[in-house]
Amino acid sequence: MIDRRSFIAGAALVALVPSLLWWQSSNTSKGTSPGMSRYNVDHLGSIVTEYLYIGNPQALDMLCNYALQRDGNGLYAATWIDYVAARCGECADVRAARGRLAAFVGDRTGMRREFAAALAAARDDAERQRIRTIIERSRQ
Amino acid sequence: MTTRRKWTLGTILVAALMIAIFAAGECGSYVHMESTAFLRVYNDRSRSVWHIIFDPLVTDWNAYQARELSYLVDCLDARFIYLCARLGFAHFYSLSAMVIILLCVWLQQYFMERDFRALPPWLCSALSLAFVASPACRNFGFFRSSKPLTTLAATALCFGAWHLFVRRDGKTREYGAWALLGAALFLGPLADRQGAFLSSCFAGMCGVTLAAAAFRPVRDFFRIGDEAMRKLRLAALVSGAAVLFAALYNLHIGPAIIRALNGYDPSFEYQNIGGKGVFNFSDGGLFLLDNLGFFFGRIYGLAAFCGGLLLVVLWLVFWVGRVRKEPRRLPAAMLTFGCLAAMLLCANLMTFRHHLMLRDDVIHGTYFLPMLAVLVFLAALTAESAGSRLIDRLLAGMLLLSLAATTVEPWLSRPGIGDHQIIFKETSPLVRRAMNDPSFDANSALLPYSSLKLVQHFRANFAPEK
Repeated sequence: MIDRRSFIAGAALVALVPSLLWWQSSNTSKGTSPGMSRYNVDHLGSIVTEYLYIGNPQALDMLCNYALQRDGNGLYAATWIDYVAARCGECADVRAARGRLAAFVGDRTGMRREFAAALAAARDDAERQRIRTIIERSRQ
Repeated sequence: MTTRRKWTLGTILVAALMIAIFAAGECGSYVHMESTAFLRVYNDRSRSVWHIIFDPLVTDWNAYQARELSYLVDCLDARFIYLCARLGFAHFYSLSAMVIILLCVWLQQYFMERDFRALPPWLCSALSLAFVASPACRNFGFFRSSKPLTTLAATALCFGAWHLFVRRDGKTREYGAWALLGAALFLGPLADRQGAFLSSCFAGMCGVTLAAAAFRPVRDFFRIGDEAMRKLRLAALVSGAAVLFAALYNLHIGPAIIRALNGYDPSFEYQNIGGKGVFNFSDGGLFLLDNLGFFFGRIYGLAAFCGGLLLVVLWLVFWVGRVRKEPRRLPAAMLTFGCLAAMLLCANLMTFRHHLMLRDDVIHGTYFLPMLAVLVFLAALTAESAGSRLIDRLLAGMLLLSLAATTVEPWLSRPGIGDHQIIFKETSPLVRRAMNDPSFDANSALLPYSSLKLVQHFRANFAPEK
């Protein structure tokens, strides 16, 4: 009437499958990998340029971190600063980024002028404070 | 050559032509935001292929998923792209995606010609061509081969198993079909987590069928002979071994190789879904029904969701009626709804883990591709079981509508600002130009950061000498 071996084999398989799936998906090991790779960093840099592309001038500060501090690529930073300026005007973030670019090429006068213009262009105290932080950090 | 064979060969040829046309329409395709890094990773001359593919830190952003087989295929794709760029023909096509989609069509047609003889050949063609024309299939840009490979495994598994169990009398030894089934069950999990889920579902279904068929009245009613029982036991054994191997590979073998080659243990955080994802019906249901409605009706948004829901209800009504009229059709009905339930569970887990796949610009993409392969099989199975000209024509009409929509879609839609790849799509021609022309000034070309790094990497290591 009942093929016991087939029944036991079938039932065992039915029990095995969810157990294995559960066993795998509940592994909580965080591993020992050395954190982010340089590709992860470049990927984040691309997300930053994506923000710039849709017109978010605040992302310019991070772009300067990548292009100026990491790669020393002033031309790349300048190109994106001009692009954002064309879209958003010479706002506080654009002036702050221009100040960082001036500092990068060793133009101290230009840097001071741009940073002053950035603070003057800030719309409110919160933005002024944010720009001041960018300036302080880039001077260090 | 029979008329049926002519339809089969014609469909494969037309599918190849469609793939070529779609690829040509992409004009060299675009470099995906993540592929900018993957192309550099897989073309790293300082490391061996094995060191690269067993390094999830760089191949999967430290989200270990035990899909090293797909990284191997990605590596071949990436090296082909650099080779072409070196020869002055920079592009971002995934050669493997094109080949795999064509292989899927070949498998569909091969098995439909043999095992779905009640289906008119034009319906078999419409199913395969609608599959090729769907946006999930029609993405030939280099990204990851994991989903196309799983799609191939899903196609082999569905049609191969049907071939073995339903249409054969057991007099011939089906070594080829068994090899296909075994390869799909063992290699699918190494291609993607969806592949592991697919093998697990198959093993579960084998287990349920074997347990049910252990009862003599069940065997007598459904006319399951000794030969079929032997096959069922073998399929249960193979699938059980495959899921056990997949789990051991994921938890022990893969991490041991990674440790030996790259000196670290991978993180399981991405895989650690827990139990909550199983009940994520709102997102999983939205993903599945939206794609069902979209595939059969080429409708979007709420209309697609409602269309998908209506389709499932109609499917249910059809099978209930069919089983009441002919109770021996019950296994086919249970197979259909078992597959749909498995797809829903898979969608629940996927959307729980990666909620971004519900974005408008992602939802109809490659995440759905393996499920689409199963859907093609289920549609063929339903039409075969219906044996009704009206249903055949209705299905073919929907598929042709879907095909027709494919030809006008490019004129109706353009990537909008909501498309998270828009900057990469718009700047890819510049990246290709920068790779082809060493004198092109990439620094002032407004490229995304990682695209610029890609150009610099190619120029530093692979650019042809002037």
